[in-house]
Amino acid sequence: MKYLKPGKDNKEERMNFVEYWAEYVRTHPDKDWSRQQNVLINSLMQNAKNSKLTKEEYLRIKGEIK
Amino acid sequence: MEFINKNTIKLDKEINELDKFVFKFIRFLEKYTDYVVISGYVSILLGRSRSTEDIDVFIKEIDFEAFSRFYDELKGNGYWCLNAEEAHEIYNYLSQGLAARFALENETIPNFEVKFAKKPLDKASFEDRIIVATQLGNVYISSLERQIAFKKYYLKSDKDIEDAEHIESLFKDNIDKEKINKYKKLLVMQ
Repeated sequence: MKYLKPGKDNKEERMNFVEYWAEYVRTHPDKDWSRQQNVLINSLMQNAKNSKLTKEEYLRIKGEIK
Repeated sequence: MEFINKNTIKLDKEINELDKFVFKFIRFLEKYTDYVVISGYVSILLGRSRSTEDIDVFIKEIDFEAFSRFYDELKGNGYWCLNAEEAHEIYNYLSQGLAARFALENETIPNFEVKFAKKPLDKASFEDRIIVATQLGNVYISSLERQIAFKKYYLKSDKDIEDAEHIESLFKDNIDKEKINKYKKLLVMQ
């Protein structure tokens, strides 16, 4: 696998990482990449459980109610 | 992950909490109507290194009675709707082409953003939807080419372009670039 190329700015850095990670996912077993991905997703799901946002506040943020 | 036939991807990933949330809801939904999961969760299911607060789903239009039964089953299993409480009010939103969001009761995120497929392009996403087969069962997602075109040429935020790039890089040997261009033209015309 190629090394991750540093980007000239944040946008390019992010896109380089997206390409690097896609190549990692493509070339590694599902169990390997998903174990890493799940650390991120499960922690965010735990944060969501602790969210104090009401449904009205949430829909206002989404621009779906005034 | 691999295509095991023209329209099925086999995925042997470890299941996370978001997957459990999605598949549980889908098992209720599919009793009442056809569906196709679109947008962010598709990229995440296929390995993108991010999460999401809402899972976008198109469903085929159903009548009020079927919707009421679906909604009753959701409520009986600990869900609520963020937009309204009464079934007729939620159904009215859906009928107008608006989204209804469903989450676990007393929670807001994550939630399912459900819409009736009303526009021709939305309806067409059922014709070439693909199956992702996981340990938790199957889920229908929009075709990879539709997903890429929609994110890259219609939504166009940084996050959406990155999602499209992830899928395009991941399935570089399977993607039909002509199809992406065809959908791009249709999206521009829409």
